[in-house]
Amino acid sequence: MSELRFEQVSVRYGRSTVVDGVSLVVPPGEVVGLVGESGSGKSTLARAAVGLAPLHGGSILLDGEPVPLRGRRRPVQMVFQDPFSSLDPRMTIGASIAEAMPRDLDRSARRVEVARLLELVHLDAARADARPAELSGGQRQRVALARALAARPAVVVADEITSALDVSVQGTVLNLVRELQRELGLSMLFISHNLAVVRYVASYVAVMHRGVVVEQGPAAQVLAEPAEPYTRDLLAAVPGSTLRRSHP
Amino acid sequence: MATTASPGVAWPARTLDARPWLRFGLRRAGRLLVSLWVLLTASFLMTHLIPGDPVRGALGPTAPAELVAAKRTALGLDDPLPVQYLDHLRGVLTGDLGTSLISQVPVSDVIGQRLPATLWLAVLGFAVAVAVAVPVGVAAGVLTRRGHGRRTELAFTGTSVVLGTIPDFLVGVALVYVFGVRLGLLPVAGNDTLSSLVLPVLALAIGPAAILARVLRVEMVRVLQADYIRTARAKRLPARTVHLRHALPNALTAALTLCGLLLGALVAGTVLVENVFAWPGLGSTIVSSILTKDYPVVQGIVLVYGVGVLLVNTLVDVALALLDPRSMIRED
Repeated sequence: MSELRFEQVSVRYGRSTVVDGVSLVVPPGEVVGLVGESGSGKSTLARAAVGLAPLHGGSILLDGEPVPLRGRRRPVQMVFQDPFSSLDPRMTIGASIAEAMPRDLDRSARRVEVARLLELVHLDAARADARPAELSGGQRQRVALARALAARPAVVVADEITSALDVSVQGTVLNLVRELQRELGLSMLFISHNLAVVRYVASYVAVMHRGVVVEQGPAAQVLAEPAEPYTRDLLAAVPGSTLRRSHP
Repeated sequence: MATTASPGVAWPARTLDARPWLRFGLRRAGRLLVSLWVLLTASFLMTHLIPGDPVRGALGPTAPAELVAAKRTALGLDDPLPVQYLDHLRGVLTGDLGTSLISQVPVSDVIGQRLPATLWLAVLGFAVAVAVAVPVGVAAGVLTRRGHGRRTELAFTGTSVVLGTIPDFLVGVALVYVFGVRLGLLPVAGNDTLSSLVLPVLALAIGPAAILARVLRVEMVRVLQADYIRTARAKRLPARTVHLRHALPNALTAALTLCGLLLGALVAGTVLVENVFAWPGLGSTIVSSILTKDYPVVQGIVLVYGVGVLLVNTLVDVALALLDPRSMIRED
């Protein structure tokens, strides 16, 4: 179990500051939900953690050491929003998963590991030869989770991983995320604009608005007794929300 | 809320459904047969509707009228056009392409002697075009992705547009002038030595290489923006692996379609280029045969060129279907 720590992280694109001095901790073996409206900087912060967005300032630490952004070691892995486009359409799902594995595994070990990971995400190991087009959205997102786990990460960043899925499939994927997190003791940064989803999987919540974290704390506290007006607005915006009343 | 693991689903075993391939094969074979018939008919009509008497052309202006008339009868040229057409079809279907009116050599022998030189030129020209275009197009795509390298993009696009639009025989003339006449580095005619290949191959390859590289650059720029490329980068794969294993295969579909068209055009381009470089292939033979109204040779060579282009197009369709089975399904 590892801790991911963002310290005064800033990301700028040209003159636009997308993430502005964000400090946030993902404790070992915990799920931190990151919520906020579209354009609040959630996904950019996540991409900075895996080296896909350049840091303008601050640092991102894994167990006190800077997250390696070069080289083959990949302790922070990301699962992306759109399962229909995030997998190479020409590659079998087995090859996509195996490609993310550490280099020292030989071919037969990779095959065994692919089968294990597919079963871990509740897909038949025989589907390793299938291409993404042969799978449904929910199945593809499970493959994306297996792909992220193949790199044996210390931390997984899940960026809106249910928002492109049908409601009926979202629950299945969320249950899988919870199950995997508990079984593997993963630290996870779970990004969503859906407060109900975040409440279901996260023990801590951070609220982002215009590139800044405006509020963070235990999910029960933040969602039941929000201190910031923006968090209250977000909660009020959930249609027919019973989040504050129903939270245990 | 209770945590419930989603149940494992028993998937049906993956089987290869032969029906789409059968439909695809039948459709392609039908299209090929119709195209061949159109080709045979068009080549027959074109040669027979051109004004002028091929027998008079072959025997010369001083030949006695009786001799010309006897020769015309012997060749069946006095028969009604539909009868000649059916004779022509029957001959092609039985492998008899006729005899040259000028040299009296069977047309199949003329083609057999000249075809290797033309094939050699076309295959080498195409190979050089692809070998240059793929690395250049991929590199240009990587350098100019996401709005990077504006000057590189401008220089690349300008150069490739100019080189891609100049007709290959003009490129040939320019190459002859620079490398043959001015610099005296390379032979400008014939096929006596390997160095004789350089200029005609370059004349054929430069245009297609420029067009192919331009299309590949655009495709690479498009593919490099795809989400699965971001996934590949998140795996921390080396840039070369991301570009060659993930981006290039996905960029090649459009390029492969274009390759078929370019190869067809390149085969046709050999006609003019062979004449510029006095290359002893089918291209130079067909031009001299048109001038002497040697109908059987013209029809035979047109048939060879047409079949070549049709086969290339069919092979590209099959390659596309293998590479991207969706292209086959989309036709249904």
